[in-house]
Amino acid sequence: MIVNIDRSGTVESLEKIVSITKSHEAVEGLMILSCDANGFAPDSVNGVLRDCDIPLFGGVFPEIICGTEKLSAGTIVAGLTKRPEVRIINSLSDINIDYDRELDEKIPDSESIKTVFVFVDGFAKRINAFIESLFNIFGLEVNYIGGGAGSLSMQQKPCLLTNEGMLQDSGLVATVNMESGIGISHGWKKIKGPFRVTESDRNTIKTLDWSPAFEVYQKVVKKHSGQDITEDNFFDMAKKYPFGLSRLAADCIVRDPFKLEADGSLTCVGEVPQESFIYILNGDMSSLVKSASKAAAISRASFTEGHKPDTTLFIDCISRVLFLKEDFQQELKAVVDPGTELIGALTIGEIANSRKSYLEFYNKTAVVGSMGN
Amino acid sequence: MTKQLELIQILYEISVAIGTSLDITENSKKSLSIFLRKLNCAAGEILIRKETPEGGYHLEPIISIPRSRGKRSIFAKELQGIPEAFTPDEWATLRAQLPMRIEEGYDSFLHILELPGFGLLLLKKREDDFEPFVIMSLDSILSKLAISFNNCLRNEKIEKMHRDEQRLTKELIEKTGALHESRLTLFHIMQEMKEVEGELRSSKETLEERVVERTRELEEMHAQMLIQEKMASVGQLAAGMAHELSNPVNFVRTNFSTLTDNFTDLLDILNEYRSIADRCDPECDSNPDLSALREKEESLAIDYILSDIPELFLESERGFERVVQIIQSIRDFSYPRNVENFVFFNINKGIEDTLIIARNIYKYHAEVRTELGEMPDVQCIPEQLNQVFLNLIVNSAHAIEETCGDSKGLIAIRTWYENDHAFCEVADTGPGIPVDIRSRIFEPFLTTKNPGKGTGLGLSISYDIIVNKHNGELTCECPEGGGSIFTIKIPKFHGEK
Repeated sequence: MIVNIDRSGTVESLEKIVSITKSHEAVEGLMILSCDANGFAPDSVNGVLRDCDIPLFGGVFPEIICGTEKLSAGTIVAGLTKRPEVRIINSLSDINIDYDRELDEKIPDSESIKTVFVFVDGFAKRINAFIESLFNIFGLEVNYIGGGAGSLSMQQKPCLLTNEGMLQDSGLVATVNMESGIGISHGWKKIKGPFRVTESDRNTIKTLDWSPAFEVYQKVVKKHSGQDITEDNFFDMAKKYPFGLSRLAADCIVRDPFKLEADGSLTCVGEVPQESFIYILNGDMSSLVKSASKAAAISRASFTEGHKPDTTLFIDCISRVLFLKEDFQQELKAVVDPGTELIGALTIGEIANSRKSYLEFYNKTAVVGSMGN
Repeated sequence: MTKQLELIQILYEISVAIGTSLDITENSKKSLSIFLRKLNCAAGEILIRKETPEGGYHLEPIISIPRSRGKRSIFAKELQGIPEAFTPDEWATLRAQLPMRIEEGYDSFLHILELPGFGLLLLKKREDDFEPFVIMSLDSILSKLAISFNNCLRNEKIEKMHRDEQRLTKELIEKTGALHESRLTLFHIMQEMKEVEGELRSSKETLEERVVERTRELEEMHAQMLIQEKMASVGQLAAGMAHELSNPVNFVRTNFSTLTDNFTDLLDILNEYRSIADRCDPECDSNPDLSALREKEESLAIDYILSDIPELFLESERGFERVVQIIQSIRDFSYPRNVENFVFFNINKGIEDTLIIARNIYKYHAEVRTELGEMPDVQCIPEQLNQVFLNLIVNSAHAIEETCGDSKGLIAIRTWYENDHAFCEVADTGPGIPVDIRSRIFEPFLTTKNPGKGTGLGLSISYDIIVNKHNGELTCECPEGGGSIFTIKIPKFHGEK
């Protein structure tokens, strides 16, 4: 990838680095990772995006990663040397849309597709259905990497960057004939469970073992931390105690509770199916950093034999940053591959597969992609 | 223990998630998806076992993840050792080998699991393969999944039957509707046919009526024409006769007048001779010649003859005058004019002439009393009016003859003029007209006369002449005391009402 970085976060700078990057003769498409703090809005940015005469895709994230540095403002423009085909799926919260059919119609069969970048509005309500449909189409014959865009303000707003402009409540799929290796790991450990999800509505857990979800959660957290969890400190406490959906002989899928509802329900980033079993997880700096390191190692190990990656794309959950705080630097250092350029985004949910397991929408997980040609 | 617990949870989650739809596509997609997700598989496929016409089986994918565009299995490469079609024995042999595990390279494993009574479930694992107890634990879920798929197929059949039933019902309704419409159309056509038939019948009846009416009119017209022709011929004949009689009657009348004068002279001379003889010498009385002459005078009653001759001449003179009058009346009655030309004519004159002509008919049975008022000439066809007068007078005479026998009845004829119209009333003392035919007396061929005495056209023709040709009126009254009164009313000027 041909990477250019702007640390100012202005539209003018964006326009400038877009122009610089696409002017590179090898560049056939752009991936743009920008910060929410840039304040990009359709009115100001759409002109730049629409004027771009090569395919572009990307998103606005809480923060972005550049080397071992985490940027809260600025933009990364990565030039792809293989031309991506970008498809947009609108209405990612609409319960009436059959994403299988939408994707089946929009995405052609192609043996040349090796890597699929997937970015979604992190606050859309049917991300899991979309991801499941994506897997139904491609299976695991390709590598997926991406995540949820959006703002830590938890307000849904235009956050996807495309040639059509900034989009909200949408998803984008960029297929590209690009070599990659993906590593996924989270480092969270089960502290209590399993609990049966006796009632849920998409990403809101209403009851666990027929009791209000918060009541169960509260008891476990208090017992483990010795601290009361209340409405006021919910966000701070919850980032340390995510849920885990179990899979056979694999890391569980993390679900990050970010909102306590008035009726005692817990709303997560990502769906929690009714009648599934979940655990309450906890982690520490060491386990999380180790997991990031593991993900990086897997990605490098699974990178196509005979090829050498030139870029490491690190899609890490913003909640891990919030949890690790200053220790997050350790996580970045654990991911760095000296031979590649490290870029990435701190996302609201991560999308990835490792070619050996089901494609999932993860939370609080470190996804590392080794990219190259 | 933890692994077992985890597996139980996962199997529970799978068992809850599968079989939630009766649609085979949705059910198989959801089921395969949950298997892959919860068992951490890289790919999967569900194959349905279908019977072949030869009595064997073949396998066909119903859902593949990732997607499959064709009917071939996405694991065709891995399944190379397994035939696509089986005899029942081969199928039994394959079943005995299940679950089957096919290795592809060092890190890819395809597991072939039986869905009992339905087909196969294929799951692909990468790197971390299933532990044997996991596969064994799937048995009951696979049975449940197979049952749910078979139920989907049964439901599909039921739904197809239901759809067929609905389609057939719809077709039946449509065809019933179409039949109903056809029946309605047929009914309307039949109604129209009936109406047309009715109209035809009515037209036919009307036509027949019109033919009868027209025939009757033609017959009437023909009869009228015959009568008019006859009348015209009779008129011409009468006029010719009158003309032919006129000359001999005139010179006979003239000669008779001369004869009367001459006879008067001769009578004077004879009386002179006889006076001279009376005055002769008595000896003369012995004259035998004279005596013989006187005896002959006595025997011949010469005195009576001499006194009667003037009376005879006088009566003859009256007879001649009457003959002349009759001839003149005949000539006037039958004056040869164009019968369609309207001329000014005094109807009193017409009545008088008609009475003369008809005298022979009525004179033995009726007295005629006329009361002819002051009358201007009116515009008419005189011959036709005379014919009407003649018809009415003759009818009255015949009516009186039938009832009065030897005693005479009365025919009273009265004319007057009023409000530019001429009126003529012909009344008789006959029996009147029977009540039942009073309203039909002007119809043609209606007669109460004895056979051979009337055509039944007299009043019809009269009505036609007065009403249709002269814009007048012809009415009839029958007073309670008997008799009948016919009244003619015609405008002074033709064309006026």
